[in-house]
Amino acid sequence: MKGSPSLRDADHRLRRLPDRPAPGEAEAADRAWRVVEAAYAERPPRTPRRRTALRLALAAAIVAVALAAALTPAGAKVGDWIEQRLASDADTAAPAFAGLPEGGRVLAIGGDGAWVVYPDGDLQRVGGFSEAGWSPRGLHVVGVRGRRLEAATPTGTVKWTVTRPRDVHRPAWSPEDGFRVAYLEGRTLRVVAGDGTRDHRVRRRAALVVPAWRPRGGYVLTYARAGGQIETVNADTGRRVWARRPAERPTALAWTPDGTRLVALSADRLSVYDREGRPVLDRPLSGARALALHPSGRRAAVVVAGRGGTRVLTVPLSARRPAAPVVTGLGRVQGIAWSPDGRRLLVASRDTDQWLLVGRGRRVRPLSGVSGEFGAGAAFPGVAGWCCPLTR
Amino acid sequence: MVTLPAASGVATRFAAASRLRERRLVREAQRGSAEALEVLFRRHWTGAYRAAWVVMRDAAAAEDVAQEAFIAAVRALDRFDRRRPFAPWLHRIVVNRAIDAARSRALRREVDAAAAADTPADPPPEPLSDDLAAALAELGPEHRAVVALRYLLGYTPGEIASLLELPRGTVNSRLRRALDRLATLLGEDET
Repeated sequence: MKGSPSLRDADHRLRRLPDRPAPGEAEAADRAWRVVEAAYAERPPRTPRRRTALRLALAAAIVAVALAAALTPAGAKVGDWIEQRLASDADTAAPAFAGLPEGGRVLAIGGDGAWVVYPDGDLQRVGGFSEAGWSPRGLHVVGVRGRRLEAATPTGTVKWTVTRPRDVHRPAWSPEDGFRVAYLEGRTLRVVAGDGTRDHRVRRRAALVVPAWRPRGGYVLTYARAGGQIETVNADTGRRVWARRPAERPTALAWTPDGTRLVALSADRLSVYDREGRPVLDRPLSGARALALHPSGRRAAVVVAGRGGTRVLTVPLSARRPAAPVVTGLGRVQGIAWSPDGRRLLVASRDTDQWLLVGRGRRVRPLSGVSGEFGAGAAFPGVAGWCCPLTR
Repeated sequence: MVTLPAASGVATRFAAASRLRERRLVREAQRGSAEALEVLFRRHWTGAYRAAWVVMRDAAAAEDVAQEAFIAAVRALDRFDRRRPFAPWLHRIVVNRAIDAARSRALRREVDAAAAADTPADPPPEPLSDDLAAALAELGPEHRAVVALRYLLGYTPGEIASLLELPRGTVNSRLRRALDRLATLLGEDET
């Protein structure tokens, strides 16, 4: 191995790892075998498989392909093998995501599912989800694929699945204890417990908007009705807490972390309601597309599309101060998220294949070529959330 | 550049025979032979346990993770495609569970420390036996996982990428960073 003597030494010593027993492995083997043997004895009887002509034909085809492969010149295959062996001398190019700040993990949705992006540039595929969101402390991800709602760990281990007759959408994990998950099945609002049990219908005729859980006090959530109203309900009892009919149909809803304000975005305005649903702010905002509430609950970032391209604005929620542009001249934006400490805003700019990190003083740092990080020809990864520091 | 011993014809034939034997064992275990399952278990326990231990740094946790992985494998045995090798399937379960468990422990420790000083937290990692083990303990679980798969279980970076569903570049950079960090830590010990 090339490199410094200490690198060579580390490599050399790691190569002797297989010769070193781990503490307690022999005793553990006997204990574990007894448990595994018991699990084996308890497994349900095996369903016999039918041997069909099709299976035999498939087997013959596999043999033919294997023979053909064996008889072709070995060059390409050997080349692949050698290349894979030699590639252990890891490349040193910094991944695009290595520019992400410490203190959180980004949930990205690409063409082939949901991924967790770590601040050192690592990527971990969670599952083939089309939409996904974090659990409150980032221990799990909830995602949807077709008719299935799934909870998985950030490494992709599926913890539970709920399968419904129709496609499911817009999952949202409740804050704080994380004991509820809301989602839509078609136009029906449903809620399931955080362990995948007690799945039940809450309301019919919901609009296709991510439901917003109200923090601080019970499992109360706000959703948009198909008719354009906003309704806040108790997710367990179905009891209505309050309802409002805003001037426009909401496209995004979010409660502030202290549970005192609801922010509702529609195509042309941003409205704020108090805990009981009384309007406290209504601000025209033409072309509003997406919303990300700042962790302080005092302002929101809003994506706005107009003639001059797409812009991202920060909009104060309590005072009538003007909205301030943060980034302008963007093309399509596929998700925005605040960092967990609220110091940076992440904007996924699809047309430039960049994630833009906006910091203090609206300084923008682009992370370029992000699609390529997910493999050749991968779809642009949108941002679905930014959560929770993690000790690694 | 890392150079690995070239696969000789004898070694290749031995590996092929070993795969055939393993396929037979899986088939017999699927048909209800506890003896075949025990042979599979004994053959793969050491690798599974050591990999879990490298990631978790705790014998009890490693035993739990490796044991759960075998139980998961037993439960999924009927669905297992015998044309695929058994070991990568098992190692994937082991390493993913070990990473999850290590992360959860880290998060729980954070929460416990912040929320209640008198709440019993997870037991601290075991005392480590030498400087390599101590240096490994300084890496994150994801980095220890790729080190275990590469150096302990002998997978190539491409195979690790496939096992963990990671891009190949991520595996390479994790290996590189792990090696750099270990080199630094081991160098410090010597000075």
